[in-house]
Amino acid sequence: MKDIIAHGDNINVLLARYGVKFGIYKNGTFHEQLFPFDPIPRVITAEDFDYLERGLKQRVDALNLFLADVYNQKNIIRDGIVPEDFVFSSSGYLPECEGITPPAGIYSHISGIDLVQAKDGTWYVLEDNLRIPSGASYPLIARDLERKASPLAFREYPVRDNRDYASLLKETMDNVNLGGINVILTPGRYNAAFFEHSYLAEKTDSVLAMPNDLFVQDCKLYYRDDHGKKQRVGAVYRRQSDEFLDPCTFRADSLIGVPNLMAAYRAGNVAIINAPGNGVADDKGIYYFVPKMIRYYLNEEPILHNAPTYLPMYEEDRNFVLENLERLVVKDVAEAGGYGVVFGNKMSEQELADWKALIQREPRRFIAQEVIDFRDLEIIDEGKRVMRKADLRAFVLSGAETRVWASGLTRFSRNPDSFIVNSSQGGGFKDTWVLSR
Amino acid sequence: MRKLHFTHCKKLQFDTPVVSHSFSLRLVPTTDSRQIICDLKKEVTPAEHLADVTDEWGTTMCIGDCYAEHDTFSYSVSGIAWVKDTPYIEGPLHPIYRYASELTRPGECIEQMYAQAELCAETPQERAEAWMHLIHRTMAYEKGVTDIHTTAEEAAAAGKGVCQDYAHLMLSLCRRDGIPARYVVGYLYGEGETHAWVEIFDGSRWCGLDPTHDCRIDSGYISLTNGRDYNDCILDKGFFRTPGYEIHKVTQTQQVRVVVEDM
Repeated sequence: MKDIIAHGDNINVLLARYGVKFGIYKNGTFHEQLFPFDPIPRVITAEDFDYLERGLKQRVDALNLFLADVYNQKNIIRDGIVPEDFVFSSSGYLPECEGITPPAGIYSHISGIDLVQAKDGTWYVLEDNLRIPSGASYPLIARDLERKASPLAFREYPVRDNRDYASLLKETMDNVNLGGINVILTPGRYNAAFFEHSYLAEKTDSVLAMPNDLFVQDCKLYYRDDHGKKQRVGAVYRRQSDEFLDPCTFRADSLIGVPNLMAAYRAGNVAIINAPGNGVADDKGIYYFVPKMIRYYLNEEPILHNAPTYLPMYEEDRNFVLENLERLVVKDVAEAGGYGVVFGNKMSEQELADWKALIQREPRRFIAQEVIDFRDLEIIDEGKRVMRKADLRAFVLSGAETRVWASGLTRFSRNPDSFIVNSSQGGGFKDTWVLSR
Repeated sequence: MRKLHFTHCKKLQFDTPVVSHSFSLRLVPTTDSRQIICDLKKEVTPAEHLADVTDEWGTTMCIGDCYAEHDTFSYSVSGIAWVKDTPYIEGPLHPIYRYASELTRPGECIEQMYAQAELCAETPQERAEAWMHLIHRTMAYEKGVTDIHTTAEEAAAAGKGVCQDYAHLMLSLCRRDGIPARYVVGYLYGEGETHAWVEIFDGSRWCGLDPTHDCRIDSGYISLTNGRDYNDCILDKGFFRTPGYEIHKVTQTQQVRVVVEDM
């Protein structure tokens, strides 16, 4: 363990050399920054992981059932569990996906569930990410470097190997592949997570394709390699968001899509990972209903807790939010990546009044949550050990069965006063060690 | 039932040759409780591959491509439609038709129209028809003031537009009033181009209403495709590039001809 910490700077140098970077757009220009690695791992005990694993599988299974229901029978709406307008006025709901059953009935193949642990040890789910959650590659490559820095540490501590992520991902792709190669489709090197796209392609033996390498013919998707040879694609793990996926179906100005990809998908000739239209289930408003979904579809009590959440569209909740705004956190349901999150305790009198008026005007646009007192984690800041807020993104892969990766991306805030850990907001990351006993 | 023969042709002319052209076309009217479509013939040129796929609402889409250099693109479709003299169409209601869509979201102008209108009507059908009469009274039909991106709100503010704008405004008001409504593109007897109107859900079935002509649809209307607004009903979409690495701006001109005749 000491070796790893001593080698922290070296590992960061190597990560930079391998191109482990994060790109962000600020005022329209592209900036690439390093994703700072902290050498002190987050340790999750075998007992805690066992609990998380059961809860995460249950949650992701229910979310997949919800997606299948929303795009087909709509029973959960008919039975009054989830309000109709929440689903159909959500920007993540895509009518273009109505009536499509994706291969093996799986919508969310790779789910990134964001959790925090409170001071009393309770885990809370903060957010479900069912579109294209990124981040698995960072602990994966960091682990490789840690093992080089300190092979002994992994003999002394019973740490579960996390290098099976690639095989889990490959099995997930193979499970839905409809005949042909697996492709990871990247929008290109100016994407925030380009490193991850190339790294995962290499590790899973998939082809890394740019949008222009793919084309649809007779409702089938093909890849054209550098020699002009055409190969059928059976599964595409695409890393651009739904609205850019196919200019013939979604945004016509998309230059990073594949024309008529949706027709090939609809015809049942290619699997799209994750399925388009998943945004309807990871909307911050729908989050409120996930425990209800678990009871509805699985007839089980939810194992994992949601952070206590209020929906201003319900009168009772709205009144509560208006009275207690100064101690709540307000989130814009349409935003992601740590944007659109404001804390009541940081607001001036005037801001509080403005926010109350805004919430009353647009109740459907926001959710409010209790601020959870996170358990801080130790990081090394300029040679000193200090405590910082951190969360955990757990990766759940839905293949022939639902499996939870025994690791995860632990992100922390480098700013001592901030609760926001997103890499796009300048946070750093740690490896996540899951103990086997 | 009335027997109509329809022909729909469109020709695009590019001012510079294009390559790697992928397209997606909604060309084929679908048989439903109001119309029976038969003897369909369609032709797309140039096309190296063509395939049919049914979209989420049951409309047949024809997708294809042409990689070789070409400077024109055209399609034609013809067939026979047996049309009942009724505005009603059987079919289920999908909840999305209750909610505002991108082109029909009400703004200040539509909200004001909605608030000021005093409709003497009760049932969804009566109210929808009252909205239709109101739109027909307040809007002036004028070509060239609006385009395909004009929203209902912008058209309402301008007070003029074409069939697309009339339909969007009607959709916006009906949905605001709690009446599910959808946008329809099709052919109208005697019209040389495609036409747009709306269908409202009266509680058990759809009813076609044409705000441009202030009437219920009759046997002269052949419906081609429907959706939340114009964006869901674009008949042809295509993506292409110019050969080589130089940047060329491509300008296209188009000719459309629709003929609907009695047989």
